[in-house]
Amino acid sequence: MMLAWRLEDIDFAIIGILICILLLTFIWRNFFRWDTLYGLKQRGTNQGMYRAFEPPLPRQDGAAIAVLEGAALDPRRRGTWLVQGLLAAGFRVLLLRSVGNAADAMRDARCVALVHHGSFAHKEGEVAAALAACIEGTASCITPLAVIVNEGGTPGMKAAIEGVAMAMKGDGSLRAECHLITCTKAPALDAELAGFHDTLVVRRSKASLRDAELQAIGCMLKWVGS
Amino acid sequence: MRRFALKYLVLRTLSTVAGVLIIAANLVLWHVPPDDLMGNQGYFNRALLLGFQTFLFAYFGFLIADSVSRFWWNRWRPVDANAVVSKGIIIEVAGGNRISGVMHEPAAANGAPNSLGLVIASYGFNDNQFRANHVVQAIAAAGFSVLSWDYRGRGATRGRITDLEGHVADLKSLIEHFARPTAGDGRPIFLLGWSVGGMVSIHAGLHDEKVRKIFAWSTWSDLRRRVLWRIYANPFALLRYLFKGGLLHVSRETNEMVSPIHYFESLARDLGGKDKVAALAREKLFLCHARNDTLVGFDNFEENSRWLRLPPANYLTFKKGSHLMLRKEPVLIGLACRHFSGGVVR
Repeated sequence: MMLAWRLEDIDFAIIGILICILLLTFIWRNFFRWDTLYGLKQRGTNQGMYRAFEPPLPRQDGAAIAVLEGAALDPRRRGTWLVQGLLAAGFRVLLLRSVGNAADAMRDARCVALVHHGSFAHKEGEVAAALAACIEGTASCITPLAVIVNEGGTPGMKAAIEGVAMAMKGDGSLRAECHLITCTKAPALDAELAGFHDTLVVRRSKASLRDAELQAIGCMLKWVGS
Repeated sequence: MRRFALKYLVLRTLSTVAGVLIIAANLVLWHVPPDDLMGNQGYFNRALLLGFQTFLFAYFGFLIADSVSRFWWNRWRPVDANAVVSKGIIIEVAGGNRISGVMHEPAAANGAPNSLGLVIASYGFNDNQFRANHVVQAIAAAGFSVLSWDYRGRGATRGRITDLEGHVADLKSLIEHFARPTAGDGRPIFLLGWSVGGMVSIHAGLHDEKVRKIFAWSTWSDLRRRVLWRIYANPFALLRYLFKGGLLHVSRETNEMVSPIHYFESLARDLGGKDKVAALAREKLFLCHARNDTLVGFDNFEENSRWLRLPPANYLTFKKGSHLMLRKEPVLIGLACRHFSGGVVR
């Protein structure tokens, strides 16, 4: 059968254009949602165990926030929205690569933010242990304050709750003030979240903070005292 | 003014020539001899019908393109989160005007103060509550009470959206209303706005001691001289303003009332010097603008900041982001919170 371009094919062309628009929208919403830090002319300087980013308009007190990015992917892309918001608010941002080597940066920081992504199936125990180590380590901050940013959905929230439980002392208190930003399918129970000083809980069916990122930045700034 | 008149004249001449050429091309395409045009009612009726049909095609084409563009650019969907409590309100201000809006309050946390102050947010000309939600809710999550109010012709506020002077008067009324101890609980008042909202905030708040800080982005300096010709030159923006009832003509008198650059000049006359206005701006104002803004060009920002002699601590510019400041939202939220909290440079 010979294929020929006929006038009726315009219908297929229109459908094709619509599919392209949908595809481009999907790409736009998912992959080009944020500028890289390079868009802010921010490359950061390598400080050994962490990378330091300077704000365009620094605060008078020169306060810093350590951001620990739990993703294996390039951390300068994954935590971009949070780092951008903190830099714009005038904080220095110290981008860490793992809990173990973060002590130097934590000492200089006002707060440690732990961002973790992805599925937590079969590894919730490890994640909870890492969170507990982070919260313990945070106690050496100038103002002991930890913010857990969970993009791992409901399992991630459970891991965060477990982590807080593991880090609690005998009297049921934490050495650091701990806050939680999370997304979850299930309604969060007040009793489960009682260990946290304050929370931002986004109810949604998938493991993503998408569309709530700006509120997350707002909450973070409220907690660290912008 | 001369430059504006020249641009207007050139654009009008070009569009007339283009119109005549289109008519001539149609006569050739449809094999209509010029002699037949005169005194032939049938041809005239057919031309009228085809013209109407062409208009309908253009109009529906515009509606489809407008819907697609809104879907494309509006990246923010509503979220169900516990950080902010939003409630629709109607405020009756002095003079009996009723202004609708949405009040976003930070959810009370363990022992934290309920609100750091009241931010009155003014959105852009083509925006509404839905399109402003992501910005105002983020500011509310940071601990401020945020009122996102409706211009005349939007929400339940009565009037015409093109009544720019009316919008300024409404914001002044809102400031008066919330400055009363009974309404505002003595909280500091901040203004936030973009595009037309930036202009409205500057006019209503720069010389008002009840307003502590103003944060504005993508706003203009002189509407007639630096914005209107861009609308005429941009076919899509022109169609949008034409079909949706918009800002196609601004008289010289109105322009004086709704252009920050003229406002600064009148303020300098009232206060007794340009330096006093510049000092006010240094104390209160923070501006942001993208270099690739094609609707309210970067020259607007340059003119405003040059006139006010704004120091680098009072502005931030972006290479990209366009008029809507796409993908710059986290930075804007950070900067706004820093500015409202009195961030001081080292």
